[in-house]
Amino acid sequence: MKKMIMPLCAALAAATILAGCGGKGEPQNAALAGDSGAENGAVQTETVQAEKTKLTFLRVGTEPERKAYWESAVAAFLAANPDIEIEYQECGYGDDFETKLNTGFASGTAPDIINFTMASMGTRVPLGQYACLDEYAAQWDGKDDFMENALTLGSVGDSLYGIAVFPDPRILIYNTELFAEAGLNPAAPPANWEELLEYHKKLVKKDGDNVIQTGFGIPTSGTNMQHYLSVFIEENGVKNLVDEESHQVLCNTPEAVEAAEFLKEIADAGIIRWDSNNSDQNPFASGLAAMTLGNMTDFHNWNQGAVSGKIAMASPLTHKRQATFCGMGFMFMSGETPHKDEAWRFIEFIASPDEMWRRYEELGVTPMRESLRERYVAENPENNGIIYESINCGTGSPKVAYANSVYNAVNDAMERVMYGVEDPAAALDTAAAEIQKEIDNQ
Amino acid sequence: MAGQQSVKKFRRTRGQVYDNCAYAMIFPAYFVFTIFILVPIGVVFYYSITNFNLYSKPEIVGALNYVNLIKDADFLISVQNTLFYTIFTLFPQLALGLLAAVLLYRKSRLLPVFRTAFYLPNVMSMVCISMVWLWIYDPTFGVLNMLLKTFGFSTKQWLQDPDMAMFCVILMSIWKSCGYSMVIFLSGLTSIPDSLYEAASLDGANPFRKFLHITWPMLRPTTFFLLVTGIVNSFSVFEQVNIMTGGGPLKMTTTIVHQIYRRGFLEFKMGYASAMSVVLLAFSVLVTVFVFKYGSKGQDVDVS
Repeated sequence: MKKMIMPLCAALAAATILAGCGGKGEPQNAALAGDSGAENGAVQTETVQAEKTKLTFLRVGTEPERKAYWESAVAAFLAANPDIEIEYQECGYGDDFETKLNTGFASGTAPDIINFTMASMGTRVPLGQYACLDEYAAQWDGKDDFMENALTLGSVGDSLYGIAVFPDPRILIYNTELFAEAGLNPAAPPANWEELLEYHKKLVKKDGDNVIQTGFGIPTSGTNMQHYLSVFIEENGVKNLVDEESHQVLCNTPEAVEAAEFLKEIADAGIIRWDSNNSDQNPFASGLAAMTLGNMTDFHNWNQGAVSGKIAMASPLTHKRQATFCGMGFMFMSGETPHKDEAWRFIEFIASPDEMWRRYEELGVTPMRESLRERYVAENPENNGIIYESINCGTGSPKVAYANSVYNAVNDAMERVMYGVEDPAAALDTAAAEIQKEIDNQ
Repeated sequence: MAGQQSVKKFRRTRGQVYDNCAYAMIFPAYFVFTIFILVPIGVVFYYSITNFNLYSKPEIVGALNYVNLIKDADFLISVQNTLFYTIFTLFPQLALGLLAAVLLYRKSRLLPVFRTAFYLPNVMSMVCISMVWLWIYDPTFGVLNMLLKTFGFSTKQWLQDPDMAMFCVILMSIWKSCGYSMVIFLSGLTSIPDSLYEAASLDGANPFRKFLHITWPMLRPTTFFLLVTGIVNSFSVFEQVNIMTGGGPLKMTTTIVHQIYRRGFLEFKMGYASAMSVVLLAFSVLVTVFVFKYGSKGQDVDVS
């Protein structure tokens, strides 16, 4: 008997450990229902819940004002769709979100609907993580009203994968007070490279060798450096860092090198070093830089901080052409969700004109429908016109499967350029070689 | 004769029962160890010879990942940085921990306050501490630069300066960990018999000679324990690097685990990241064996 008891105890202990490691599976819910005193009531509740389709929605970012919007949007959708239940989740930008999504897909627990950036499409569409929306878009009456550039940016090849919700153009933002102090006209921001460099030099202040105020604030390290280079290479006539169709590496073309050399010239004239991964370090936010590139959220946040009431937007610079980087936040449907129809209903709701206008009123987000364009510009002709201009001439990240390697290689190269350890041509050649290696490995 | 056989049988039976009982008692611990440590290690070994990318079925590529590792400049820099971090974190941390332990090994009402204050950073989350030090090092609003300005010195770009970034991370790590060393050294100090110090006092030894000839030799087992665990911990440095510098500037602070994270979770090269993990494991085992072989002498001090 004793011999039997020992292995039984061991098995019980092991089973307890494994049960403790278990997730929130159905058996646990069933057990909880069975434990309740009002068994009949619990069974009824379970039946009602079983009729509801449960969706998980994960959005990128943790900003409180956006969280409030999303929670109210989910509540409004649920009120109109009582057969659906949505679990709202959020996670910060950058590596954390990528990791969360990767582990979700790897473990079969990916969210049904994902709000994420355009940059993710290059990697996740080929892996089948984002569902193609062509079938739904074909029957969607909102498609013809949608901004054409937004639909283009949400497509890979000829197939639509994302519905744009948050346009994210990089806008030239400047500090009018610092302009006035330096004898520059606050109503006349730079319009081209020559003026940018001239203004930058006039705005730099030094204390010995230390730069205590800079003109054009550009980061010297971090994962956003490729955005800054993208803006300038596109203004210099280059299509993107990589050609999405032909997979030709473009980041080391003579025009791209010229753009990097221009950024280096700005750095040599005097900049305050900062890491773009830590947005708190951005010298523009503290009034130590007179110009920088930022998105609408940055503008909104800075306008409530140390430089409140002193900042303004400027049209994208023109060199060979007018251009800027324009990221985009999309609604994606998971390729693995078994509830595609329900997920589309939520995406369609979020892309409706009423929700778009509510996003504008609550968050200042540009509506992406042509029918709302005039109304939007009329609301704030000074800034909204510039935002529309930036979205229209904006190009986003290259949507290629090796996009992360492109960003890493270009960020590393620009860091070497900014720290002066390598000249722009050599650094971008190294980046191009690394990218080409990734292309060859595909 | 028959009686002797029955006694042997009885002893063997009792022995077996005893063994079964012991095995049953250790089974849960071994089961957890096998499932959560041994099996994952085996899986990592397997993935390291594949092109696993998290989503598609892995294909065996042999030693290709290991060959690529040798040519990977970023990985070689990370190995160099990890060794640098280990050396410059571990020894100052042990020295400061020992100093604090010796200074706090006396009777006073304020001692518990000091001991708690020194140990407190160790129980705090590395992520929280990294955020605090990020603010301390902030070039514009950081405490360090404010102090420099107050005393008329020029400010520094602490974490943005390639020559200083690693030392900034090291300083924070020492600050966090020396409290732990102090506590372990304090426990080592309590095991040293007072009779040795009394005898030394009778012989006219001053405090320094007492430390050199009694305290330090008697703390060798404690130091050895801290050395081995410190090496293993330092080899796996990641959170502070990821939060404070992201491995930069110019990869001056990237470490092996940071590279594993980047390759595995951001570039989806799980096979390659697994190869890095295997190399890190081998490296940790080798160094630990080396320390056990050459660093554990004098552990048999008997003062009874």
